[in-house]
Amino acid sequence: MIATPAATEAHQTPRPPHAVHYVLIFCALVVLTIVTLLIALHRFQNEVTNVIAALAVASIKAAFVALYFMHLKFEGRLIYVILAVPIVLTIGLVLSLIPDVGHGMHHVIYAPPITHPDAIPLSHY
Amino acid sequence: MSDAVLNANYDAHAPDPVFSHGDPTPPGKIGIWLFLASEIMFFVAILGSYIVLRSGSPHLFSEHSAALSKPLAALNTVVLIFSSLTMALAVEAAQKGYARKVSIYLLLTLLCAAGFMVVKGIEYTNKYYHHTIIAKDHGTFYVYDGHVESQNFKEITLKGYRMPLADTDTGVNVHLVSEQYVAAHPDGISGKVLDEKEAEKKPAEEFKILASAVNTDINCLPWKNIFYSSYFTLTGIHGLHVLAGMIPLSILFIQSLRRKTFAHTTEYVGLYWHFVDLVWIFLFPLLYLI
Repeated sequence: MIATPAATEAHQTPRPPHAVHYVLIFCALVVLTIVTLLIALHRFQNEVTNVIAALAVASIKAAFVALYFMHLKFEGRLIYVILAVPIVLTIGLVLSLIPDVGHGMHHVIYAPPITHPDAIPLSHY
Repeated sequence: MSDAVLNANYDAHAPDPVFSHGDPTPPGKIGIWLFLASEIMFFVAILGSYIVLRSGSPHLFSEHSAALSKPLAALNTVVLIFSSLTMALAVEAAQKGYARKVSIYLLLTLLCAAGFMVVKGIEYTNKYYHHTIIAKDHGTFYVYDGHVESQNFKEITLKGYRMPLADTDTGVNVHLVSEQYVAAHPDGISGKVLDEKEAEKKPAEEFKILASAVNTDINCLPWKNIFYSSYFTLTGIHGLHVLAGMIPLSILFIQSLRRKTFAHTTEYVGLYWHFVDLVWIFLFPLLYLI
């Protein structure tokens, strides 16, 4: 296939910049960082709620960075296809970790003791 | 040969090598996204390990992560987000061919990267001087936890908390002891326990510990426990990515000072830099806040 003039042009000169209000995105990210801190300071009774809330805000921030700073919103299908692979694998990894995480949660309910009952008495030293 | 002959020969040749793949995305951009895809898998793997380790010892992780500096981490988050802003503006300026603007924005990005590493250095230094010590004082063993202010062959000056140990408190595991635990147990392991807010309000005291009376001494580096191993692994690898990003940023900055702009290359370096920011966005809550 012979490269078309338009395609060759696309390799030589960048696409025109997209009209993105980067400063507004930055302000939104700073506000979301403050929200994350407030969630951490507030601390919900349920530990799982704390984790989900913190990760949910982090995901929103990550989406802002990826869509606007990394211009993912304006990319063609090919980049989405490339990204689909690690995202599918990530979901697979997270799902495969659920049994391990659940196992850990069942067994460690209380804080472990900081002392060992069979150790040498302190008076020995 | 005349131009006509040359053109005739050219037409008779095989077609040009295929530079296009039917998609307007430049090959360089495909390359950097493939690299970022592999980076996603790398970070997902180590974050997955962290989550499994954390779920196995939730109490240990939450107690020790409380000793990390949230204000410093929040400052670093804002610094990195700001560097993403300046990087995006540098890419925009490079696409328009404004070399002077590219220089300014890349310099700001580099300064933010250096600032991030300086703050990280302060955090690491704090952990280096954060000790858990078991030592005898007037016939009683104490567990001390806090920051070593000064140290010589005779004496250690530590600012923090201490709790006495009864003779029955055998085999204290210094790897598990946290500052929060010591502050919450002023009368020893089996004495009264202060709640989290009371322990936080308790002011740190200064202690002079005789070097000859020290039984055990450990600082909060990777060998302290699994939390610190995870903390240093995750932040260390991320820090290496920041340092690695500073290399192409510096090259582009020097080129922009020579009035040369590279729109595509700046965009690819920018994509990498935003990815480094994106990783920190997840590390910040996972390590410091939950």
